Amino acid sequence: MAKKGKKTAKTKKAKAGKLSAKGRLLLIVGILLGVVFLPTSTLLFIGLLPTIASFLFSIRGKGPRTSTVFAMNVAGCVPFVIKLWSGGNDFDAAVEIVTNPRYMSVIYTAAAFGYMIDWVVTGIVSSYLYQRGVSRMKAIKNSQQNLVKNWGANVAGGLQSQYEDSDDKKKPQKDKADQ
Amino acid sequence: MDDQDENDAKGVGQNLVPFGQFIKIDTSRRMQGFDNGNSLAYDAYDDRNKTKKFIAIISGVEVLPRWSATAMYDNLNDTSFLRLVGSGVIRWPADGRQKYVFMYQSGAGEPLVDAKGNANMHWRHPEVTALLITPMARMLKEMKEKNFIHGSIRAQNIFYGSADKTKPIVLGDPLAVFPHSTQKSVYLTIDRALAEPYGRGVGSIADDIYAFGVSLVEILRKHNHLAQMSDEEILIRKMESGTYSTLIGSERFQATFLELLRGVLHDDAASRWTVDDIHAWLDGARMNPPAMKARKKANRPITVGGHKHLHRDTLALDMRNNPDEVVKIVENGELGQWIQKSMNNKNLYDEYQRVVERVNSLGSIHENKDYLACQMALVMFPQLPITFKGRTFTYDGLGAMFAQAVMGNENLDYFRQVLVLNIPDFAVATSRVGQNDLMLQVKVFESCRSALRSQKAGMGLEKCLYLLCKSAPCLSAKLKNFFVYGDASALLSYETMCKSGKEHALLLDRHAMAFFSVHIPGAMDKCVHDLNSSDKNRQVAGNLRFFALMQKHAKGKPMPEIANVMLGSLKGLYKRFNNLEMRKRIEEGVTDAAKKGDLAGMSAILDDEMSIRRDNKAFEIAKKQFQILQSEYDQYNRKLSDKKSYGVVNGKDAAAIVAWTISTAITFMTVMAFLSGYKVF
Repeated sequence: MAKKGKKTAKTKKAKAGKLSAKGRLLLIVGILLGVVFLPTSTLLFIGLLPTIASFLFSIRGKGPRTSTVFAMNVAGCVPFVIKLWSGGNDFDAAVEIVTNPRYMSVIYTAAAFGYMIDWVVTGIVSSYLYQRGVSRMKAIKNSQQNLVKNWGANVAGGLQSQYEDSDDKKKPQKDKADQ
Repeated sequence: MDDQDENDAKGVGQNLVPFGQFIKIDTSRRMQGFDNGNSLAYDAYDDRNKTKKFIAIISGVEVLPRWSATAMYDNLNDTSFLRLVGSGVIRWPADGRQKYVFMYQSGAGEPLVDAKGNANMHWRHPEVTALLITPMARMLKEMKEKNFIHGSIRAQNIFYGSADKTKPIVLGDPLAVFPHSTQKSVYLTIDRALAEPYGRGVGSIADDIYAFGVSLVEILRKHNHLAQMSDEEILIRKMESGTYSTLIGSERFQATFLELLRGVLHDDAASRWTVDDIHAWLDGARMNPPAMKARKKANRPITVGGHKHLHRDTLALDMRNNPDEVVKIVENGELGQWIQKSMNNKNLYDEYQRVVERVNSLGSIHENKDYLACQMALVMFPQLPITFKGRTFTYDGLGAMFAQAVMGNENLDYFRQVLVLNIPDFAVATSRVGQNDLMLQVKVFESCRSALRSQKAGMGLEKCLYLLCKSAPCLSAKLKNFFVYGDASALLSYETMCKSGKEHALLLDRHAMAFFSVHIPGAMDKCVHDLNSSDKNRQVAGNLRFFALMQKHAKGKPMPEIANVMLGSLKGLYKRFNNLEMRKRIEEGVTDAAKKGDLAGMSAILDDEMSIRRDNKAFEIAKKQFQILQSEYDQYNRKLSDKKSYGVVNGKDAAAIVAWTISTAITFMTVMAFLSGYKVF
C-alpha cells in the first residue's frame, strides 16, 4: 500500500512539473522543425498567439476552450501560410506578413471569432440544458404528486411529512364537510 | 321466536304479550299450578283459534333456564311429558327486560298435591300403578335413554292427565329453572340437599328416581309426620336413619309400594334402583331392595364443632364448618390416631395422609385451613358436596353458582381459588361417576385453568363461567336487559342496543367474547386474534367479522343498526388499502352494504385478502418508483443549484465542434481558392 502511494505521488509530480519522455521528444522534434521551417514557424508563432494566450491563461472549466480559439485562429492563419509558401517562403516574407497590420488583424479577428463562438454557443447550449433540467425536475415532481395522489403520503416513505403537510392544508375543508 | 321487537310494534294489548306469529300470552291470567320456582306460568292462546290453549312459563336470566336442553326435551316422545310447542325470547312488559319463555300445550289437570303439600288423590292401588307409576317409569326410561335430567320431579309438579282424573299423569316443566334449584330439600339426595340451590348441579337419572320416590311418598301418605320438622332436621335424620325410614316413618303403605319405595329411596346412588329395576318391579318381579349399609362406628369419639362424633359422615359435616378445629386435630395428630385406632381404617388413613401432604405442599397448614377442611371432609365422607370457605356445591354445580355470583356482582376471586386449588377435580375423583363422565368433567376443569392462565379477552374467569355453566346466557353488563343465548338472539339484541345511537363499534366485551368462544367457537376463533389486538382498528375489524359470521351462521335478517354503528368506526380500516381510488371504491361498497344491513357483505369487502395482497404489492412498487424519482430529482437539484456552471462543459464541447466545422470550411475554401488561382491576399 505504501509503495503504491509513493508511486502515485511520483506520477503526479512528474505530470505537474516535468514533461514525459514522449513529450520531451515531441518538443525537441517541434523545435527542430521550427528551426528547419523557420519562416512558417515564425508566422504561426506570431499568428497563434491568441491560442497560446488562451492555453496559458484559461482556467480549467472557465474561459474559452483553447481548441475552439485554435480552430478559428488556424483558419485565420491558413491563407497567409499559403501566401508564404506560394511566395519566397523565407524569413523576410514571414516577417513581412507578421508586420503587416491588415494581415495580423485578419488572423486575430478570426481568433476573436473563435472566442465569440465559444461564448455564444456555450451560453446557448448551457441555457438549453438548464431549462431541460428544470423541466425534468418538474416532470419528476408531477410523477411523484401523481403517486401521492394515487397512494397517499405514505408512498413517499421518508419524505411522507412533506406530503402530509400538503394533505393537512386540505384537512380543514374536509372537517368542515364532516360537520 | 326471537322477533320480539317486531311484535312490540304490532301494538298488542297491555296484558297480551305476543309470542311468535300467532300465540298471545295473557299476563293477567296466572296459572300458579305450573309455576316452577320463580319462573311463573301464564295462560296463552292461539290468536287464530282462541280455544287452543297453552301454558307459558316465563324465566328470567337469574334462574338460568335450560334453553340448551330444549332440543333434547323436544325429542322426548312420551305423552306424559308436557308437550313443548315452542321456546324463545320475549320482551316482558313488567320490567322491560327480555325473558325466556317455554310454551307448553295446555290440557293437563290440577297437580296431584297442592302447594301446601296436601294430596287430593283418591286413586286406589291399581290406578296408582297404571296412571302414576307406570307412566313415570316410562318417562324415566326415556329420559335415561336420551340422557335428559329432569331435575324438577316433585309431587306439586305432577298433574292429572285430565280434569276427570282418569288419564295417566303429566309431568310438569323441567326447563324453566336450573335442575334441582327449585326442589325442596326433602326431594334431594343428601349431598345435593346440603349444597346451595344453584350449587346442586345437574345430577343424574338416579337423582330423578330419588325425587320420584319422595313424590310417591308425598302422594300416597295420609299424614305428613315431617311437617313439623325443618329441612335441616329432616336431612340429619336422613343421614342417621336413611331416607326411606325418615320418609316412611310410621305411615302405612301397601307392601308392594314399600318394596318400590325402599328401592328408589336408597341413599347410596349405586345401590338405588335403576329404571330397569322399576320396570322389573312393574312386570311383577319380586325384588329385594338392597339394605342400608351399616355405618361403621368408632371405638371412641372425636370432638369437632362441639359435637362428639363416632361416625365419619357426621364428623365430615362438622369439619366443613370448623376449619380451625380441623387444623388443630390434624396438627396434634388426634384425627390420624382416631382414623387408625378408633376407626381402624387403613385406606382412610392413607387418604388422610395424602390430604395432609397436599396441604403441606401448598405452604402453612394454617394459611390453607379452608382447603384442609374441605379436602378432609371429602375424604371422610366422599358423598358430601364440596364446602370451601362457607359455600357448598357439587362438582357439577359450580358453574350455576358461579353464574349467580356474576349476576349478584359478588367477588369472583373465590371461584378462581376453587379452580386453581383443583377442588372440584378432587371431588369428582372421589365421587362415583363413570370413567367417561369423570374424564369429561376433569377436562372442563382443566380448560378452565388454562383459561385462567390467560389475560386475553375471551379467556379468564369469564370463560370459566361459560365452560362450567352451559345454560348460562351471556351475562355481559352491556346485555343486562337482554337474554342472549345464541347467534340469532345476540344479533337481535345488539341490533336493538344499537338503535339507541349510543353504542360504538367495539360491541363485544370480555363477557360476550367468552360466551361466544364457548357457544360459537368457530366464529370466535376467526376473530379472537384481532379482538385481542391493541390496535383499535383491528378490534373494530374483529367485531365486524364476528357479527358478519354470526349473521351468516344464523342466516339472519339484515342488521342495519349494527351496520350503521360499525360504519362509523371503519375509517381506520379503509386505510388498510393503500390505493386511494381503491379505498374510495371499498368505502362506497361498504357503505352500500351497510345501508342494506349486510354485515357479511361489509366484512367480505374489508377482509378480501386477495385485494389487500394485490394492493400491498402495487404499493411497494409505487414506493420504489417514488424513491427512484426522488433520487433523480435530487441529482438534478444538486446540479442545477449552480446555474453558471451547469451545461458549460457541454456548451464548450458544442462550441469547439462549431469552431472546428467553420475552421475546416474556411481552410477548405482558402485552399480551393488558391488552387483555382484566386488570390485572397
